[in-house]
Amino acid sequence: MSPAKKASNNYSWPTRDKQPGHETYLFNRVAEKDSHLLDAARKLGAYRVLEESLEKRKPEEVTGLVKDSGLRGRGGAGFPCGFKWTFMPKPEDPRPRYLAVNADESEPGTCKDRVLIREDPHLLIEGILLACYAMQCRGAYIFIRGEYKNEAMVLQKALQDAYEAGLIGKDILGSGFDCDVQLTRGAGAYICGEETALMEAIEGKRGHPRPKPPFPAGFGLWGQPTTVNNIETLCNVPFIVDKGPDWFKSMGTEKSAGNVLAGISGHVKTPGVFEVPLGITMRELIYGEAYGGGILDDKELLAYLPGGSSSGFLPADTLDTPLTHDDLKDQGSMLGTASVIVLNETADIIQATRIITEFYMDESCGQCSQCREGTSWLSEILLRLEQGRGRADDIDTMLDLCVQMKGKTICVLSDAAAWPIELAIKHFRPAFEKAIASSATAVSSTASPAVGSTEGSEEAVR
Amino acid sequence: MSDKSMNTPVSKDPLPRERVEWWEERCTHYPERRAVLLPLLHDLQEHVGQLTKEAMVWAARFVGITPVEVYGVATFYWMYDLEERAKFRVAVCHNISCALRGKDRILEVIEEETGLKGGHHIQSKGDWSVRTVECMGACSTAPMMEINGRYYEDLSPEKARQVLQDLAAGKEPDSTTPWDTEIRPTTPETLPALPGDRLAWSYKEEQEAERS
Amino acid sequence: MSEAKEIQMTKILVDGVERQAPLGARLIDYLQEIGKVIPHFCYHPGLPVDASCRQCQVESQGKSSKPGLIASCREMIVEGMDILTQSEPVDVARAGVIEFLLKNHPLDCPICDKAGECSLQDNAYETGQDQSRSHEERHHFPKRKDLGEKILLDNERCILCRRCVRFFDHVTGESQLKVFDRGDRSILGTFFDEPLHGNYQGNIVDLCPVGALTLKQFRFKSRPWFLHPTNTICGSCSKGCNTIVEVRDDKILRIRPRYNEAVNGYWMCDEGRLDFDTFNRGIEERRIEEAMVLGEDGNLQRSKTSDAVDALASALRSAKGRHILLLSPWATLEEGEAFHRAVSSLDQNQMLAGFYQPRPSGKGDGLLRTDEDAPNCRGLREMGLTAIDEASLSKVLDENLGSASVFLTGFGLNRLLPDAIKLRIKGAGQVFFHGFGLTSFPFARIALPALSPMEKTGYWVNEDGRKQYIRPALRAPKTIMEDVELYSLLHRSLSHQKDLAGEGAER
Repeated sequence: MSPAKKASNNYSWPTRDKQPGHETYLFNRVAEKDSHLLDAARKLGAYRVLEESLEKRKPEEVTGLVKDSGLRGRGGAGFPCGFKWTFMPKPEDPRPRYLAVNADESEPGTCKDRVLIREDPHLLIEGILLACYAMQCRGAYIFIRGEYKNEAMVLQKALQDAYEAGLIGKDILGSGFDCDVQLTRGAGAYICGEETALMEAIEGKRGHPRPKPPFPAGFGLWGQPTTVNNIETLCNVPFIVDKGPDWFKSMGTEKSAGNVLAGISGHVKTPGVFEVPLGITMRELIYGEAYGGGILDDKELLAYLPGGSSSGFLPADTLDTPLTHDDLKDQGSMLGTASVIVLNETADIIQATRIITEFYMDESCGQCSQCREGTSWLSEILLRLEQGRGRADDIDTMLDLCVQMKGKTICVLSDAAAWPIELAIKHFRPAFEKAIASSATAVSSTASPAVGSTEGSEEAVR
Repeated sequence: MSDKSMNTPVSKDPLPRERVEWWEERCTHYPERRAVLLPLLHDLQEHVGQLTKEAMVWAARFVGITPVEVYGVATFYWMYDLEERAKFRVAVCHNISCALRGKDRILEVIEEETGLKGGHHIQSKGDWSVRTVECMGACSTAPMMEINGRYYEDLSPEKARQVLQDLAAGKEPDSTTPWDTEIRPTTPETLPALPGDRLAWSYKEEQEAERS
Repeated sequence: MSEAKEIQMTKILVDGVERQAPLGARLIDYLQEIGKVIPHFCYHPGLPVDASCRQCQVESQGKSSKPGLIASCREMIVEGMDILTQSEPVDVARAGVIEFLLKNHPLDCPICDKAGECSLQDNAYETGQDQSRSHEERHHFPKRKDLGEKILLDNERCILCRRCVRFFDHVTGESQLKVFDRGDRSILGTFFDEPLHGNYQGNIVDLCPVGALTLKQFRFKSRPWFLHPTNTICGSCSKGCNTIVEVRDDKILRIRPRYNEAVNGYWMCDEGRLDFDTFNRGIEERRIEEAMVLGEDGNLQRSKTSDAVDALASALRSAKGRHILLLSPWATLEEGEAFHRAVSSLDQNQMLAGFYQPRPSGKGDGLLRTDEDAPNCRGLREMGLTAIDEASLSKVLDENLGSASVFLTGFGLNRLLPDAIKLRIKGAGQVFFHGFGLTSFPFARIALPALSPMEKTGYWVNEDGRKQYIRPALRAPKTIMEDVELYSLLHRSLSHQKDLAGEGAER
């Protein structure tokens, strides 16, 4: 049917010959042939739960099931999903309400939603429709990052097929429930993954995060009540509604239930996206045969980032930390998107920090003073360090700038830029000190005067 | 509108008529016409080859905002090209996962093949333009490059060279990314319009009803 | 903002002191009102809140609002708030913002027009960092970018508070300026560097907290601290915008709007702001500084003002034809009153006296600028003076071609009377002029100097019926008699001659 598809699949998402030793659900259809097409997907069970729910479950029941399951958002913040749904106004409220679907997966190291969208878009659509039904949203607006052109095409095709099959639109499956699902393709901006920036982008604006409050549930898309959910979160919903909260809680840990899609990248033997139960240790994820398969070239592990670039660097002695929200928080890091990036001993921690910081510099929206100026300042310092032009006060300056950037801005991009640097200095301070000590230009901390600098002043006159 | 830039002559629609109609239909799915702006700019860019001043004025008029707002949006997102596009536009991820897996060697190959050094600013020569970009979401298949919207992942220097040489020779390179040949128009926006009769809500009708 | 709404008070703590504060009011407004200093850049009470500069942060102690630093421009007062406007975290955060903003900001205060009234300069001084920790090269952006006739933009000085952006977006309703690109490359500009347009551009210069947007007219004219401000009212139209006129060495250098919620809010139009050269002596119009009377040689001769007024009175008294006495609608209520008294002693049947009512100019824009090009038509009308419009004026001039005696009085008629009328006036029997400059009426038999609105006091009534006081920003030349005094002199002179005439008739 489609010859190019899965023809040269040397990817490490689960295929039939590589099954993990635990229950999976998210990726079950992914490995099947033509799972992205409506007919094949329906044969594999897509939309069954939706059909049943529209027939015999009240919207509140769906919300209740999700709430009881303890499903936490998979987009980074880990906010309880069902709880979030209850923030939407009461049914009496006449305002239209919307679901904004966050397919702007841009956190470095993260490529899990991409697999779901491309390989099983109908699971996503089913999840979206169930969420819309639960919250009685009139429409869902999916925002997919512009880079995912291929995925956007697959999803657009899936949406159209679903429309034509009466799964989206007026009177879905004869239930009387109406819901419009629209896809907006972005054009390349990490910040659009922030929920309020996402809404701005869907509205056709620059992706500037909005100050909160008001929160989206009160004032979201076009000023109406809106819930923002991540792709993977929504893909969990049909299974929870089908099999119940208890089944869901049987996987993962008490406070972090269910399976999660963990992406492993960097210096591992078999990078890939794996469906794992929450609570699995970082050691197993990185070294397990079914997952990362150990460190590339059998080198020593230097550091790893457990949940995307903003989760910061953790050293090898934290490998027994379970992959859960709370355990990683205790380490000063976070679960984030559960995207593990592994660095072996050949990597340079300063360079890695610089790359990550430059990413935040590139992607800062430029609204808040601290973030706009701070991210570029930190990048400049790190680049100097990397090039052997460190100064004695660089570590102190960086740490102080990080303090200035945390908790003081509209959104958390500024914080996310500060965390990796703080953790890198906390765990790998000797590397920074060595870089400074060996710098040819290392000078004692003689600051230049704030006023009286002549740089650019000849330009400045008239 | 009295904006001067609104008077910039737009001799004709930069899009074919059926596309304009397609976008008109899309507008009915949103409470504000402006919501189609991001995908509309993609479409314009594909048709015109770049986002020209004229195209942006047209887009502004189409969605009912001032051109400066469109310009603000177009410069915020990196994927919009305000300058003329090369035939083959290579983007190489320089973020952490790709850096750890050897994006430098890929960039070396690209330089050997095209004579262009990848940097944050786009560089072009002949048929080629090269730039390095932030994470494109192919971390587990790093390193990667994207050419004209298509991903080439899990690259080795040899594979990268083959892709570039194939493209230069007018051949379709092997892509390791699952790629459905049936649904492969130039942009997702060029798929046929959604069936109108199944529209759950038409904001257009709603707004008209409100007005009357 | 609606006055009708009853304001509920609630108890809050500010720096440990219990206070009754209006529930739901904006925190930063309230704190400033009670005298707390809250430095800020992006916040402006006349614009929607942006909350992006992060300079106005205060510390919440966590009762009734989330604990920690909060942007006071975003926060509304709720019951039981406990706010610290000065604390270590607050000071650190404020100093931090300044450090970030100064990292790439050019330190060109010595040649920056904004110096002395620059928020960044003031706040940097307050936070008192004498050392920068930055060893990095400053980022460079375009300087002296031309934004059209009125404004110049310096992107290096811009701190991206986006007040100007929001002004166009929300006040004039038509976006012209936007921030392009993102992150530390963010840069303010117009669509492909097109010039700004519209009648409200000057406001963005007032709004700019730094020297990024400067008024071409004021660039390098004066340090702001050398300017002497006078609070007065703009006379360009009948809106009556409250203004501050700033003068140095007897020359107006700048006019800025003065906040009045009931009239103009924080804004004024460019016409009222920029068009002040006329008032600066000897620049545009050929100003009459001394009274002049037509001599026997056919030229205007200098004369004492009182003599000239006497000459005017007797000329009016003895003239046979129709009298047309036209007061400028720029006249104050007091001048209107005195004018009315002066002309009331003339024969009412022979006379057409009143103020000139200009026809709607079509310049009204629904924002501030009205259709009426003079400041006091409503006031003069309401005090009982006849409104003489273009049609009735040309009719009476045509009917009395060659025989009418025309007395034009007060600042403003030169600019208000249409050319067709001026031409008809030339054809009148005799013309007497009391005004600012003789430009349009060199054929006047008597020319009397008048004060400009920048030199006098009195009341104007704006189109909404609001009576507003104007104050002199400039000193008038000593040789010029105040208009009110001139009218009372004329009144006396006319009455005296009437008495004389009466006596003569009796005899």
